[in-house]
Amino acid sequence: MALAPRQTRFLIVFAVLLIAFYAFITIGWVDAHVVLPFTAALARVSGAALNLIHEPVHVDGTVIAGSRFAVDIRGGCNGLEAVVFVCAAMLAFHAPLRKRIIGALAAAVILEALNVIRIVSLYLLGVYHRSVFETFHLAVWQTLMFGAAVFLFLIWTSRVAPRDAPSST
Amino acid sequence: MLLRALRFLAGLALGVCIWWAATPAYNHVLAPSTQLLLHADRRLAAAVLVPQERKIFVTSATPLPTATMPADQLTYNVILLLALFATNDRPWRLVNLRGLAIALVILFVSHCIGLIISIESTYAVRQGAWSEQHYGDAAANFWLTAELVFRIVGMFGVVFASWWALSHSKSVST
Repeated sequence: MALAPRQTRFLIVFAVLLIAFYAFITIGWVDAHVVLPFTAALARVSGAALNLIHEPVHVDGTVIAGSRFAVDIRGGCNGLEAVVFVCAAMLAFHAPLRKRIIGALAAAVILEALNVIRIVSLYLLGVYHRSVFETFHLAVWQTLMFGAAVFLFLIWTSRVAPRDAPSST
Repeated sequence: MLLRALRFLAGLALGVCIWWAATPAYNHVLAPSTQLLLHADRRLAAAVLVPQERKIFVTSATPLPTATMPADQLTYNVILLLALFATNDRPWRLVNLRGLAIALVILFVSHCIGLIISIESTYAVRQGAWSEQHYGDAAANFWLTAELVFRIVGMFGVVFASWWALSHSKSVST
C-alpha cells in the first residue's frame, strides 16, 4: 500500500485539522457562547418540526420534551462533530481555497439539516419504539452522519478535482 | 453516486447486524489484548478485564476500584468501515477485501487504544478519592480530553483515514 505524496499529505493535514477544529469547539468560551446557543437553536428548529408533524413538544434550552419522552441535545448530538470532520477533510484537500471554503459551508448546512431529521426521528423512536432508541442513537445515526459527511466530501472532490476523486483512482 | 449511496446503506445495514451480533465474542478478544497493554501503567497493573456481553468489567484482587466499560460504544465505528468499503467499485473483488482486512486490523489496534484511553479516563476522573490519589490534574485532563477526542471524532477519523489510504493505495487501485 503505497500512497502518493499528495495523498499522504492530505491524511496528515486532515488529522491535524480534525484535532485542531475539535479542540477549538471544546474551548470553554466557544462552548458557552457559540456551541450552546447553536445547540439551543437546533433544539428549537427540531421542536418546531415535531410540532409541525403533530407531535406536541415544548423546548427549554437544549431539551425537547413531550408528555411521554424528552431528549437533551448535548455535545456529540448537535452535528458539529460531523461538520468538523468534513471541514477538516475539505480544507486538507488539494483544491482552490475558495472552493474549499464554499464546499465546507455547504456541507455544514446539509449536515445540520440532516441532524434535524436525526433529532426528530430519535425523539419519535423514543416515544414509539424505545427499545431500539439506543441502537439508533449510538450506532445507526452516528454512522449515517459521518457517512453523509464522507459522501459530501466525495461528491465535492469529484467536482473540484475529478482526477483525485476516489471513483477515478 | 446513487449506486454508491445504495451500496453504503447496504453496507451500513450489514455492519449494524455484524456489530450487534459479534460484539460479545469480539469483547473476548479485545479484553485480554487490551489488558496486556494496560498493565504498562503501574497504577493499573493489577487490573483484570472481564468481558460480559456488550460490556467489559475492570476488576482486581487488589484494592483497585472496579469499573464498567461500555465496550460496544467504542467499537461501533466498524459499521462505518464496512459501509465505506461497500461503496468501492466491485466491493467483493480480492483487492478490496484485502484492503478491508488490513483496515480491520488497524481498527482492532485502535479499539485497544480506545479502550485503554477510556479506562484511564475513568480511573483518572470518575473514581473519587482513588482518582485524586493516583492522578494529578494534568494527567486527569489529558485522559479526559483524549477520551472525548477519540469517542467524538477520533474513532471515525481512523475509519476514514484507513478506508481512504487502503482504497487509494497503488496496490489496491491498480
